[in-house]
Formats: sequence, structure tokens, C-alpha cells
Amino acid sequence: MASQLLCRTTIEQWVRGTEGRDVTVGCSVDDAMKLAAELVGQMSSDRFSGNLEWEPNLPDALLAACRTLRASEWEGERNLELAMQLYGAVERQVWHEDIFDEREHVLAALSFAAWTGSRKAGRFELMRRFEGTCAKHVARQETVNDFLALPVEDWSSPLCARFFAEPSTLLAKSVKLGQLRNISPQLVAREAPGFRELVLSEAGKSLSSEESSWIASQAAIFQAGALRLLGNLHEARRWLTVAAETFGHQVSFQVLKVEAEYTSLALFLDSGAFRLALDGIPGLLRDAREGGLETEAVKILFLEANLLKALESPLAMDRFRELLRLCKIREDPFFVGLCLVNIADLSASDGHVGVAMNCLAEAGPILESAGVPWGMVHFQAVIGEVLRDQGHLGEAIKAYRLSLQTCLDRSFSSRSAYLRVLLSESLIAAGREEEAVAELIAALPVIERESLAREGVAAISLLKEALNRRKADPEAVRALRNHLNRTGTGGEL
Amino acid sequence: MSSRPKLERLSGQQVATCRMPSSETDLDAFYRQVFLPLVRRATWKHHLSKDDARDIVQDAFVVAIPRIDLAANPRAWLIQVVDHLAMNHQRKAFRRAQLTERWNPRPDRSRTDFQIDKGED
Repeated sequence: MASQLLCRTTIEQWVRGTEGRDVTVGCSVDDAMKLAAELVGQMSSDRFSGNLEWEPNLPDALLAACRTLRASEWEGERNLELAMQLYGAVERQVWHEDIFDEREHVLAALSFAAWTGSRKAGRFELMRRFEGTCAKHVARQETVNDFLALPVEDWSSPLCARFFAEPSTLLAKSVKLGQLRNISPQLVAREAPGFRELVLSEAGKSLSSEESSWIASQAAIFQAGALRLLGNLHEARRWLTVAAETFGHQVSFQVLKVEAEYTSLALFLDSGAFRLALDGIPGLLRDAREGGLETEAVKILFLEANLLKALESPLAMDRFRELLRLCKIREDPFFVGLCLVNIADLSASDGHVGVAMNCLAEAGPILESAGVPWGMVHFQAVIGEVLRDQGHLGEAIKAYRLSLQTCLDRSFSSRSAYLRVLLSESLIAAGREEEAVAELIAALPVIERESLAREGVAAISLLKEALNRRKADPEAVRALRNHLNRTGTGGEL
Repeated sequence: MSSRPKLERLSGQQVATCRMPSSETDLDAFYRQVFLPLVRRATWKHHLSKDDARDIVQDAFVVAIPRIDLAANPRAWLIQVVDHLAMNHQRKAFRRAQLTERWNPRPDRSRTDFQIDKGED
């Protein structure tokens, strides 16, 4: 129907037919504002059925209501309730002949209003929900979605002026970066700094100063998370400081504080400061639970379990099992899969190979459905380890190579270096020394460049010497692997 | 807002008297599904009056006649033209207001504002 209407002939006939005429355009802005006030009045009364009645001026009234919500001062939770009521009503409303995604535009604007309201009210789980609905409705507006698909560096000033007139577009981009942080950290690392700058510049003027500080801080935290996955721990720490500088003056910054602190503790895990990280867990968990941040609490519990595992604590297995139960209830496939992989890893270390294989068989499809490559990297590496311990070297090498390839595709450089060391061990054991040497030659520069192993690690000097002779010293490889394990490079998340 | 008198909405009968060979239904649908939503977009997204928004959408249609590419995405293209025209309109209005303020300032405005603020006569 749209293509029929948007043809040259129809447009031409419309222009000719309306020449010199004053075509009526529905209600005026003032009348729409009055209609919006009436609508709000109806919604406040007990007689409101929860559904809207379609009439030609309804879109104007709703757009006016969005403007009122945006412009009005903070009035307790009233604005939030109103935004939620309107959102629900519009979601149930059939929008007649909507070829310009007008309904999605209204729903995105209402989601943004509800996001702001819930954030200010400290209702963070609700805030997360409306972040998600905002991103969904923005993505359903074809033209905005096409714009957001462009790389941030290609966003010209006129494009920004055009699309960022709607604050929902900025929030949707922020949500997208958050979603991509585990899936495509290199993309986030490339885009988050530029996006953050735009949010704080003239381009982000549709946001209030509090909103822009919030979104900018979140971008900095996403950047830190992405850099961490890419193995750039030093820069990751710097970005956490940048985030803290922006959110330091927020009224309600609990979510950001928890997110930043979580990333900071995870960086301790990566750099081998397990005890230091473990000490920070109880306080962080308390903050997350006080703020009603259940999703964050799960991540913190997972970090704790990983720290216990790195410290070879007997409590680690119980923690992963508890977490597995919790994540199954929450229907979170990514964490269910990761818990299963870790239980498999610990079971295999304890000699329970059957349990390990069952867990891995269950984890595979779950992690695949979660679509987070980082999870698959860990899954394939643990399969490699279990098979190697069973003496199935050929199969183990294949599993390691799969894991390594996923890492290389996603530029997870520190993890890929660690996997090359694991792979070279199995290659040496299988008598394929030349391949092992090639893997080590590729791994060592990354290990040195990213300071994965501290200076003076004897294994590195020994290996370098051996590699000069095109030989791989198995003892030195094992020592290096153990060292990387101790420093946390072998960990995840 | 402009003070021009408004005509009634273009009815089927009016459409028929407008030298239009295409079906009345098509033009009525065009009014509801294309014209009005674009006017609302220009109004609410770009903070224009309804009358200014209507003129901008009409201008966009005039631009569209020779240039619209049906093989591409005419819907997105039309939205883009409306957005650009609306943004240009706003820019011009802002510049005009600045110039008016500069060359023809309201006499003794600051004093009046002060008096109002203080509740003085």
C-alpha cells in the first residue's frame, strides 16, 4: 500500500489538487496539549479502562503527552506511573495505516520517559526493562535503525542533529553498545569513546545534563569492559576512572557504581589479584541487592565463583552449582552455559570425567543459543582440556584450534595467546613440535606486549632460547601455562 | 501560528473537483497515511506550528515529484526531506529572531522584565 501511495503520480496529483488550498491538518498544537491533559486526567481516574479509543486526533494527543512528560519537572513517581500507563495503552492500541512507524516513535518516547522516571526513583530493574523497550522501539523505526547501523565515525553533524533530536535514539545506541560488549568487544572499543564524546557535546543537547552524564558514564564502563575482554587491562582501568569522574556527581548512581566496581574486580581477576578481588565481593553484592539489581548480583556471584576456582578453593564447585540453579530459574542461557562449563572443568580436574562430559553436552547448545562468542571460547577450551587429560590428543588439538579461531576472529588477544600455549602443549605431546613452535612464536610477543607474564618469568627466557633453536621445551611451556593460570589470564568474564 | 483560514479536510467530493484523474480513494488514503503523519512528524519532532509543518510537507512533495526514486526507499527519502526542510526552517527562524532582536530590540525590555519579576508596576 505504501508503494502505491508513494508513487510520483499520486504525489503530483496531490500537489496539483491542493494548490492554492489550505488543507486542514488536524488539531493545533495548543489543542493537542489540551487533549493530552484530558487524556492524563482520564488515566488518573478510576474509570479509565486501560485502553485508548482511536480517533483522528489521538496521535497528536499522544505526541503532545510525550512532550509534556519530557518537559515537566520531576514530580515524584507520578511521571513514571503516567509514562508506564500510556506505554501500556499505546502498546495495546492498533495504529491505523502507520507507514512511517509513528507508533514505534511514540512507544520509544514513552519508554524513554519511563526510563528517566524509574532511574530517578531508584527503581533500577524497571529502568533496565524500559532501556530494553526503548532500544526495541527505536530499532523498529526503519530510518533511525539505518542511521544507528552506521559506524559512529560516519555520523556527520547534520545526521546527529536530525536523529539525536530524539533522546531515545541516544539511549538506544547506549543499550546496543552494552549488548555488544561481550559479543563484539572490538566494535565497542572502537565506537564507545566517540559516542561518549557526542553525548557530552552539542549533539547530545536533547538530553538533560543528568541524562547525558549517565549515558556518558555508561559508555565509559562499556569501553572498560570491552578493553578488558581484548586484554588491554591498563586502558580498561583508565576508562573506569573516566566513568567515575562523570558519575561522581549523579544523584542516583548506584547502578553505575556497581557496574564500574564489578569491572574493576574482574580486572583484579585478570591480573591475578584474586584475594583482593574476593575481598571486594561482599560489599559489592550488598550494594547490588540493596539497589534491587538482581542481574548484576548474578554477575557478581559468577565472578566470586571464578575467583574461588582460581584460588583452587573447594567452595568453588558449590558456588557454581548454586549459581546454576539460580540462573536456570532466571532463564539466563549465557550464565547457565558458563556455569555448566565450569562445573565440567572442576569435575574433570577431580577425575569425574563422566560428569564433565554430561555437563559439556548440556552446555554446548545452550551457549550456542546465547550467541556470545566468549562463552563458546571457554566451552571449546574446556573440551580441549578434558580430551587432553583423557589422552585424546588429536581431538583436543581440534577443540583448542576451534577456540583459538573464535578468539582470533574477535581479537581477544590475551586469551588467544593463552590458548596458543595450551595448544602447543598438546602439539608437543602429540609429537608435532614444528606446529608447537609456530604457535609459541605467535603467542610470546602478545604475552610480552600485554604484560601477561611479569618480568623475570623463567619460562619465557627458557622458551625463547628453545625457540631460537626451533625446539619447544615442554617443561618451559608447562611452566608458562601454570604462570598464566596463576595470573588469571586463563580465567574468563 | 498562521492566521490563514483553514478549509475543511479534503473530502472525496473536493478531490473529484481538483482535476485529478486518479481515484478519490487513493488521495484520501494519501492524506491520512502520508500527508498527516508527515505533518505530525514536522510538528512534534521539530517543534513547528501545524501550519508551518503543513507548508514544509507540501514543499517536500514538490521536491519529491522530479526526484523520488521508487526503486530505492521512497518512505525513508521522504522523511529525510521533511526533516531537512524542517531543520532549515528552524535555523532560518532562529536567525531571523536574532536579527530582529539585534536591529529592532524591544524598548527597555530588561527594565520591564525586572519590574514584572519584582511585581512592580
